[in-house]
Amino acid sequence: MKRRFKIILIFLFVALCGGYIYFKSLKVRHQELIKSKVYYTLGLVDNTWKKELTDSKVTYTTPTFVISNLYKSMEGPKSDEFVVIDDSKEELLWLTSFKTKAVSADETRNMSNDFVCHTNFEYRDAEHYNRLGFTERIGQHYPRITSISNGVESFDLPEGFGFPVFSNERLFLNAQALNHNITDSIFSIKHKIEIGYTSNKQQQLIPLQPKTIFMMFPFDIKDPFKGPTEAIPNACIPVETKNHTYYNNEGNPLSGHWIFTPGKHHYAYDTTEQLKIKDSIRLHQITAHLHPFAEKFILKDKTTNTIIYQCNSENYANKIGLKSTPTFSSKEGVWLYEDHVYEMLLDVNNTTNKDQEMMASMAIFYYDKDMDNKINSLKL
Amino acid sequence: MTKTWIIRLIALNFSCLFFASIYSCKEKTTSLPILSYNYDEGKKATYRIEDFSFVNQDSLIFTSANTLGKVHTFNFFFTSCPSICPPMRLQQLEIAKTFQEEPKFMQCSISIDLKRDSISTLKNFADVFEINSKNWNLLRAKSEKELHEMAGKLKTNFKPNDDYTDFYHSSYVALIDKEQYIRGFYNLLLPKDVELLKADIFMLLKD
Repeated sequence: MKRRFKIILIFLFVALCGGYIYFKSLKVRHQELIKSKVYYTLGLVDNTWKKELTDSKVTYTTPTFVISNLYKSMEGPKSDEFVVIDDSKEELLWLTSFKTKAVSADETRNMSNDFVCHTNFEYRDAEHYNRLGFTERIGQHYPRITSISNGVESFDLPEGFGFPVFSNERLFLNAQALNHNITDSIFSIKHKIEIGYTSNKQQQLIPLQPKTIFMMFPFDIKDPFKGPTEAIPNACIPVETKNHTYYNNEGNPLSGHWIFTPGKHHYAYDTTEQLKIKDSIRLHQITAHLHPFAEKFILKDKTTNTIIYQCNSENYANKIGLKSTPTFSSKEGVWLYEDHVYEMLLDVNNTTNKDQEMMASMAIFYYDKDMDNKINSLKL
Repeated sequence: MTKTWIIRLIALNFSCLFFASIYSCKEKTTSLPILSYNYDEGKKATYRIEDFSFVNQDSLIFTSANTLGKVHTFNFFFTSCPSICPPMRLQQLEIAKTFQEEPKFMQCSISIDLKRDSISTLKNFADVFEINSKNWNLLRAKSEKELHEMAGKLKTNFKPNDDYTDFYHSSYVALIDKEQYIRGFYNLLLPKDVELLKADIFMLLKD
């Protein structure tokens, strides 16, 4: 018995050491996945999503995120959930506002939004479009409604506009924590995610179609972290080659999440192909998603040399983080045309002496004429 | 005494971890709305997935009488599909394995390649991938008209390219309840959707 006990102890000790060495060899984002799984499965922290519903907004509270490390974008604890706004009835709602804030784990205190990496709001396109009799739209766009990220705590669509969903339609939320600065303590937070809405019975709004356009730059698939070469002069250094890697029509890889060195940098990206405008669209809302050290993010009509949206983002002076990234909102809208060329321009200034990581995207909303006609014809 | 308690505690921890893992894998779901409906002048008209007649890999007639009283899925595929069908098939094989002991569940996959997917081709395909008609029927329609009628009912579409060498079709399956109403659409290329589908199948089986 004594010998068997010793063998078990030795086995456990070796297994623990091996596990620890393996764990430490993982990237931060993978370590956090394991840590969260352990916290949630052992019930060490709150592992449930909660919902509060009123007549005009629904608030989802995430499980607890334990902040025990520095987390750059996409590295922190995260949680996903399929949600419905109100499954006690089936009625058309118009989503009109989006907000995320960090709170203490006991939900009694507001925390800094420095701990919000992002919240992604998505619809499930087959259910969404089939409910509205729009089968032909399935698979046409990535089904993201919008995204809230560090520097953009909330935004409202222009008055009178909304994104239509049914009250008992399944949506998908993805929330992730961030921590660029705190290293001297371990603490827990949650995210409170609010979606404002109006019932179609109260008021029929004008439908907007969401789309995300984003900067991405090529890299050499054979030597991805080499950076610019003669063959690929505008190559970036991708943060990694799995996530946020896209392929152009020629099959060459591009990264939407790249590394930049200390100092100032300027980036330009032709987004005409991403916009895929048929005839014309009327743009009403833009929310930028940027990382710290971004200073200026522009959407420009290159054909007319007109700036459509200029986001002068503000960085904190005494810590790493975006203080604000102003959104674009317009009831009248701005027209974009099929035969124009559109460009995204980005200025960054890495004021540290270390490499940093960048993403630059715009979650846009434009008038959805076909949906407007459809909803009118359905007489919902 | 102390050693015994240490061993018991270790065993308890592992047991808790094991059962908690199983529990945490199950998605929380709410009641599922009926999604097989159309609107006519603001009035919702629901319909059942019925009135069809196909032939399965065993050369047997397969109609809505075979699906009545069973939770089932429907999707489109073709055996020579080089793109999305193979990863979809892997997920469907996994689903078949998960529910292999469940007599009230089956998958139904309808070929859209009438030219090449004969019954014997479907049979060979089923044999190669160990697809059992007890819980997964590979179906052949008699005409394109039948296929398009079924696609309309399932709220999906497909399209051959100009020379019929390839087809566009969706990576979604429709989940249908025992009463033959559609209760969900799931993209088999998304792992989270597959997990959700399994959880919803479990839920409908309990109804």
